[in-house]
Amino acid sequence: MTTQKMMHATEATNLADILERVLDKGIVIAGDIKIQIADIDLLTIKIRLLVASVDKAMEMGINWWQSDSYLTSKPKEAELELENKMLKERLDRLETRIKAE
Amino acid sequence: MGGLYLYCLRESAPGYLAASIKGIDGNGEVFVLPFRDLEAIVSEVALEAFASEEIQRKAQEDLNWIKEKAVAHARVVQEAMGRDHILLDLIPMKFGTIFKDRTRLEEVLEKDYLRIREVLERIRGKQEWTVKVYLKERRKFEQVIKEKNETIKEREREIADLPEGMAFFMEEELKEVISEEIYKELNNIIEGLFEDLKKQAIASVKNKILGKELTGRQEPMVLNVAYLIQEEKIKDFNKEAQRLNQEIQANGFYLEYSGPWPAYNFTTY
Repeated sequence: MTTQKMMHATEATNLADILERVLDKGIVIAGDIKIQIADIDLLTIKIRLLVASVDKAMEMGINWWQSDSYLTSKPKEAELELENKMLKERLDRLETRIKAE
Repeated sequence: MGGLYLYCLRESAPGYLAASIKGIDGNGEVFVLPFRDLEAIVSEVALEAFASEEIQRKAQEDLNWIKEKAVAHARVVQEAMGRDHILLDLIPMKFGTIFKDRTRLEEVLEKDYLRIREVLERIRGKQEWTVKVYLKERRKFEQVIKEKNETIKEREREIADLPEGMAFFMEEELKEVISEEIYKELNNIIEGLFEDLKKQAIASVKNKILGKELTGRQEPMVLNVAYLIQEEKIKDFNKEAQRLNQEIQANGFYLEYSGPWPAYNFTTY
């Protein structure tokens, strides 16, 4: 049956299911240390920002958690660095030329 | 120094932890700590690391860290609940509860013991199931509503009788009426679904609608509910969910139900 949409929690858990439980539910008892994770609303906003900043991920359906934010921002940094280097070299060449004249 | 990260509490089930798994830090082994007739499922973690500002910051900002840790936490809880035919009653902890040592954990369990027992009694013989409803075909839904909604049809008849110039303005108004009615009908459908399934359940909780960013789906979620259901009613609940799914597909919706889950939604105290 194609219309049947039944899953067992043990086999088919998507990240949304996990996050909404682990972050927003479950009992809180007084531990010695408490790690406070961003709540689900804040998380949604963060993901939205991330999705909006990575052009390709704008097409919904691309899972944000599969695109490492560090990995995706690296190429851009590298690009900027390269551009910076080239500009400096160009400036150096120009300066040497001016001095020579 | 080694602290203890607490995943969940459950009824004593000696020798039962389905698999040996690594804990939240990917290093410490998960183990069972017996306390009176309860069991605490824990793993050792480095206190300094987990108390650090770096971790607290990551927990707020680093999506990948959050994902990894939340999944690790959920997996241990799921594992501790058991699978297939053996399901243990358990109380899942919210993410991130750490104790300095065994003595500190036992102190808290002693203090909360009665409340913990109360919750375990409450969920005994019951399972948590969830239902999420999505609007798949907005146009189809709007079309269905336009065709059968009396308020809209009446307005349309009125406009048909008007001279052309007047009709133009009325049509603008009609658009507003349509969007209002569609919103109303959407709510009716959602409430109807929620109430229908509730008949099979002992308790129910309406949860936040999750954004597309989180679900990773094109279709917007329109309902997100958790139900606590007696074991002997599970079959009926599943049947009813399937029936409703067929029914709402005609209107452009679909639903997904899943379970049994650790009773995250019904174990607070």
